[in-house]
Amino acid sequence: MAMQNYFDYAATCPMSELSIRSYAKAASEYPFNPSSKHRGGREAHKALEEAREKCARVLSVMPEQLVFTSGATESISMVFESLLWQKKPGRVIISRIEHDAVKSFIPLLKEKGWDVVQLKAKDGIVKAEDVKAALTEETRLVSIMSVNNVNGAVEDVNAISAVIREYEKSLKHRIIFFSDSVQALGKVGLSLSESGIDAASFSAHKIGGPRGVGMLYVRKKELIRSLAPAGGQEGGMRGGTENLASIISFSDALEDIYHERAEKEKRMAALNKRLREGLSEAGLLINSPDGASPYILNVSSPLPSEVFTRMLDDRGFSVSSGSACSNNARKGENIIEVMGYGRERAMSSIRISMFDSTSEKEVEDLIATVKEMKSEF
Amino acid sequence: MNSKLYLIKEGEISLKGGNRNLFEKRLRHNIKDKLSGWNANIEKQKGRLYLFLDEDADDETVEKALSTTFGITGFARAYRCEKNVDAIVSMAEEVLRKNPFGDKGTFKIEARREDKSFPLSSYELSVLLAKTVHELFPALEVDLKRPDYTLHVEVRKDVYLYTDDKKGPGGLPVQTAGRGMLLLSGGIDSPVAAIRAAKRGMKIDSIYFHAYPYTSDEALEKVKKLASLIAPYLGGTRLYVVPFTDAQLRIKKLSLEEETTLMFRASMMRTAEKIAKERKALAIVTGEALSQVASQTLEAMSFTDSMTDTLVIRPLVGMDKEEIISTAKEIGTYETSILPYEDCCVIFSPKHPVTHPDKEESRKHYLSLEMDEEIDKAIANTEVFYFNPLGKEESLKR
Repeated sequence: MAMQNYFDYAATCPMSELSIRSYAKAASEYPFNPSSKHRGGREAHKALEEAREKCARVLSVMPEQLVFTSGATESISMVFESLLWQKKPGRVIISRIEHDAVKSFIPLLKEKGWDVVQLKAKDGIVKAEDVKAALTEETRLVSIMSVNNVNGAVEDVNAISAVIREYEKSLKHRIIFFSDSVQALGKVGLSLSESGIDAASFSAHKIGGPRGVGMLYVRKKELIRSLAPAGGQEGGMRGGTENLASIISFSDALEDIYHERAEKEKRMAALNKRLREGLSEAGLLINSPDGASPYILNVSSPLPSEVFTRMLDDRGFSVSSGSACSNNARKGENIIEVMGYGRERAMSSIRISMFDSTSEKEVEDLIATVKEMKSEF
Repeated sequence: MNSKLYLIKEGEISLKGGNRNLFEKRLRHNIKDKLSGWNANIEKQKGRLYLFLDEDADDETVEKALSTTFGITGFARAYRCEKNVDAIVSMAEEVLRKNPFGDKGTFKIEARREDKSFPLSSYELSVLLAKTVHELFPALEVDLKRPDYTLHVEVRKDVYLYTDDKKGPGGLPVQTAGRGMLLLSGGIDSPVAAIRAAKRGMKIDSIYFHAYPYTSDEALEKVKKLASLIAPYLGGTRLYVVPFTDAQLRIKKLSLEEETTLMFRASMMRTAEKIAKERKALAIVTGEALSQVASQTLEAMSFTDSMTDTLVIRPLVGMDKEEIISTAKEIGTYETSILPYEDCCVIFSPKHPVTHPDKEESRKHYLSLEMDEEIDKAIANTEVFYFNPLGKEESLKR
């Protein structure tokens, strides 16, 4: 399958040559269990810790603050499941634009007596003052994503963190501030140590690493308690034999994406700007807020998402229909609608997502194609 | 040597007069069509068909085939023996060993003596076999009204025994009442309409209007799946996939917005009529139920009917949605019908559709759209699929 004209990197970013090579090398060099005490096991263990250190270096955090998981969904689950250790249910604050991996915990938490507050996100942005207003003494967890996966909105996690930390001073317990940061990793300035985030989830396959591996950042391990520590791997946070080759490949992909970061961001900002201009000229409406991640652009056409996506697909461009024109999707809440754009615009929204490998030519071709399609609107 | 035997009860056919033979012949043909792989051979005796199959015939497949063949009211895996008392008793023991009754509950012997020369009466035969049952299952008691288990014995040219009789779908054999063209959408209703019409003997082919890219290929796959699911009831069905995008776009462009659905329906009728004529079909069958949606009012239906000379049959006209859903579940199409691939894109659905159109006005509007060329083009590009009586897709026999 050719990668040409692929604009769905936010769904998955195909493995880079580098991470494929890294995976293959690690899989053949470290065939043993990192928990084994023989030499092969010890070497595997060393390689695992080196990968962790590499990730920690790139993210400017301590290695022991990183837990390797099977992906962001598992990382998110660990944070939410950890609440079940609490003796008494309390309050959880999330936003209406969280990923389903977060929202899917609402029914369970409610059943267990938790009070789940969902904050609005007009124009895609969750306001720190809304978080502040929702904080109560019973609040145990605030979960606001760093970058929205549908519209690219970059949330002000620093400001949110600040209001939480301020409020927390009057409490005996700490409020965990968790931020699903899948779409931020390697794409948007993200400083875990300075942001005041307590925990964050990451996925390798969104940055060209392998599937089935991800990470949970935890400022202090005591904040999160695993439901199933099993064999005690990952500092007792995540049991099970480590997916070593994937972890090593992930660490290399991570290092690679942060290489010459500033230039990449500059280039991507220019591509995004060009896309916004070109698609506006072609008659599309821009849904992504100003200041959104340059990697994600959400737009609406006069056609239903699904139809427009299919038409682009027939012309060789892969994009994502922000919302399926289906009965199922109609029942759910649409992020574009939450932004305040109305049902119709939401049902005709598509997500265009790019990566550092996206070329100027691909962007120009996409714009030209949409302009040609205008007669069919 | 054929050795697996099924006894088949035919219902309404046995009440037919002079043309009964035609119905029976068709029923035998329809059954054989599904089971030819096992050398199906059918013998007929008063009110019963005896289906002989190779010993390796798969019970589940046979049961599926018979329970979807209209004209059959009931059937059972049966065992044949000679017409003497000892043979009957020993066969009864064998049947009960193969299909044991439970350890608790009640039973009954249902004896039927067609051959009055047999020395035992039905009652005497029942008593004799009740003893056999009692010996094998001493805890069971007799209950003639609502038994948990029944051993049937029929004395005819030979003697037949069976325990587990199953209900057939009833109705009349398909292809005894001419051919109809079904407008098959991806929804819940039209497959049910097909089954209703086929139940009275109609042979049915299906038409689906595909509007890619406004409807997805998944929607087409869903319709093909539905066609394969109803095919066993229909004794096989052709599926005509009519590419209708250009026709729909033309209507969207030229028609009054509130009338678009009506105009679609009219153009679909016209298309179906042309295909029907080519197939020598005498009716168009739709899944419409009165007042279910805007295009299913009496006014809307009189308008769409007026656009075709072909008889339009709406088997679901008086059914509630709940009743339709319950039949869809019975025939196994419901789960597929509710898959979320829409058969009409929202851009073609007016926000405020006309519900009580003026027939003559709407006719004029339709004619002014000059759809004939688009329809002919759509028919010329139609793709035809065939699903055989077992529901398998097959290349079309021309």
